[in-house]
Amino acid sequence: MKNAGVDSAVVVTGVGVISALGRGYGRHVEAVRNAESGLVSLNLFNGTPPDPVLCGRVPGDILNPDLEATASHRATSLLNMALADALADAGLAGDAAVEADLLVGTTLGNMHGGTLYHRQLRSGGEPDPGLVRDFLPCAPAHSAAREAGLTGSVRTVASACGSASAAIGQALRRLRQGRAKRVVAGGFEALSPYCVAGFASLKLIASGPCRPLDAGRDGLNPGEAAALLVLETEDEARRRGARPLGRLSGYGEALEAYHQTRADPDGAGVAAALGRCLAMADAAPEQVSCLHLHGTATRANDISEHAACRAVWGEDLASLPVCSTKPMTGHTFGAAGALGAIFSLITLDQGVAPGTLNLTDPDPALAGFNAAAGPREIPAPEHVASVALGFGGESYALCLSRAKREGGHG
Amino acid sequence: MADRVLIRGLGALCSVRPKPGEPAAKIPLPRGMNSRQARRLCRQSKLALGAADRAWEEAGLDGQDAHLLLALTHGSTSFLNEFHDYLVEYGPEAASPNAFAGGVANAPLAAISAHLGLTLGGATLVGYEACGLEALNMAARRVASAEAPRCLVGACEEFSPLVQEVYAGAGWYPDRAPPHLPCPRLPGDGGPGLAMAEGAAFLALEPDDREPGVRYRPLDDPRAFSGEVDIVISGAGGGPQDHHELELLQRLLANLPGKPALLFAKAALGETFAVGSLLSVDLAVRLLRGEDLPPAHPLHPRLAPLAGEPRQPSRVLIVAADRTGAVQAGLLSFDHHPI
Repeated sequence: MKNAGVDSAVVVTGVGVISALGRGYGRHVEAVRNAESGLVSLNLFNGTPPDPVLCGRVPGDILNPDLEATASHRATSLLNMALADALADAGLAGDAAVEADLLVGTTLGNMHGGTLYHRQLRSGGEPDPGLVRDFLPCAPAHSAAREAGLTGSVRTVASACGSASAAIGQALRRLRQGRAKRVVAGGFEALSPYCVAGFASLKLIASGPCRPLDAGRDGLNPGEAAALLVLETEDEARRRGARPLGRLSGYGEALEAYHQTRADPDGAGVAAALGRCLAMADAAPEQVSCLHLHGTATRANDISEHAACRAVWGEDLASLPVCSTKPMTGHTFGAAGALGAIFSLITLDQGVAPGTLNLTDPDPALAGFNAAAGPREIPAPEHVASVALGFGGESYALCLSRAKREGGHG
Repeated sequence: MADRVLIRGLGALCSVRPKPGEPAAKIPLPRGMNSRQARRLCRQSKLALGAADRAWEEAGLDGQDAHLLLALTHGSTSFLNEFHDYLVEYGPEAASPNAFAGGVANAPLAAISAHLGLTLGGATLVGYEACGLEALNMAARRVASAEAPRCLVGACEEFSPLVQEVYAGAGWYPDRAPPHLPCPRLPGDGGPGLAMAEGAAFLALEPDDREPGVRYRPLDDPRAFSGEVDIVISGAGGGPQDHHELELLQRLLANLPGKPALLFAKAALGETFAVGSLLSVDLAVRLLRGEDLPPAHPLHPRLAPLAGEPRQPSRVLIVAADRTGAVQAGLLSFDHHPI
């Protein structure tokens, strides 16, 4: 049934987040304040290059660290846990049925299960067909929705590293148009040798800890995560007494039509996405308190984002605190946009911008970026924006704004 | 009327699976692309580009910008296989960067965006059998609500022997017609049967501007629909969605006035997953326009009698259920017939 509520304001009432930093919103707040990194050195290819690879793997006390043992269901497990946490955080746990849609982004789903299948096929053994059925990127979302008792629609978006942002944007549309009253939206991604080998083949894996915005940056660290926001109309949240953590006030998207993998060095897509996002949020660029960059630390990505930010903020860019959290969690691909949104919430809620770890020698080509290696206090933030870019020039921006509430999120 | 849009252009490519020893059908290149440029693309992307370019050309929208939405199910299985060939046999240093980057789920969308110069935004949905119609419904709502001035929406799927083998093990697409589907003999084939197939279908949507043409309206709740239609095209295909599809049809046919003709397009087109429902839309548009189906269209010899019926269809209902029970539906009409 279509709900009333055209152009309703949309608020965040719950968060579920699991990454290399650990599990839970509070854990991530702590990590921001302490400038922590969850990267660990892994051998994914029996010690042959690109091993060892610094990766953002979820700690072993949360999820079995053995990628082989969890191949068929690692992504699903991460999503299940984050969904349970998000619903509990929103005060919706314990209900047999939860009226909510699930809208998530991912790039590869349970891809390592697919790799296991191919290995079995080539070894002359009897491959397990379940590995193929379960590795489809849309399979984890349906499984998680069933597990959590969600009664709404389920959708999976696969827009490369912008997947989660795209999912959140679609959720915002559904809620503003009155097509749903509650959507759990975000993204998830599990580490897989396939993914690491792929990025290594493109020469995009960093030789050490990634260094966004740094003159010595040379690539990304792969990571895994599941990050979800419970989004509701303001009316629905008020009706059931839910506490909003922030307002999802803006979303923008664009395509660059430039190259299959590389970002447009002029940053046209990101600039367009930011412009549309801030217009929806009714926020002028100078009203943005902090910008969470995609900041993967590849040479091309950071140049592209810089150009985009110069186009949007001009000379005022130097006054805007920016940050990249990729050195803390690794690049979590399909989850990155949602993780960025949650770090934006932390900035809004706690008044602190994460540090851009490992930034020791800011790239002069990125002059004007106001970044720091350590966390910074952001006094009275009103609007916090985040950016995500995907292969093929898919560009996304989100804006989270202060909600009318008292106190902070525990 | 709310949510109604004009179908300005459409393009569809479909082929039933090649027989063993028979080469895969050649995919027409989009305008302005040579074979050297196309060789970098996976088969799925080539299918998508071919169909998208046809839709864009028919719509006469060269030089215009649009929002882009694409649906798929299994992705680029050929590039996935190629990448694994090297990864498993020779290790990560032999991994193919083109197979990786060209095989990601959003590669077809990126290729279309780059080739047609579309920059307003877009997304790739990954889903099951009703996913294509879901993307079409999303696109129609965006255009109808003026969020986007126009939208190019479609789906693509490449045939995979590996996927076919996996599904055959589950008893799906057994190459035998299940009792609930009328399944005519396929041309040149040894006997009746259902097959997995490949294809792509795209539509260019613009706001309803009262020009002559076919209009599309997404339906929120197909189970509650009770309007007049001439033809219902079902997504039943001999697969796991059929149980939900038939349940939907039973409820629909009980509500609909009159006796609409019931078409099971997949009996001839095969199962193309995310593409299937959009191939049905393509078929519906051609029926509504009164067009002869092209000879290469697998349904050609079978639908000629229907197209020649004294009563030209004016309303066609498309329904699609997927294996999880989710349903999508939309209504097409020609010219100014209100829906």
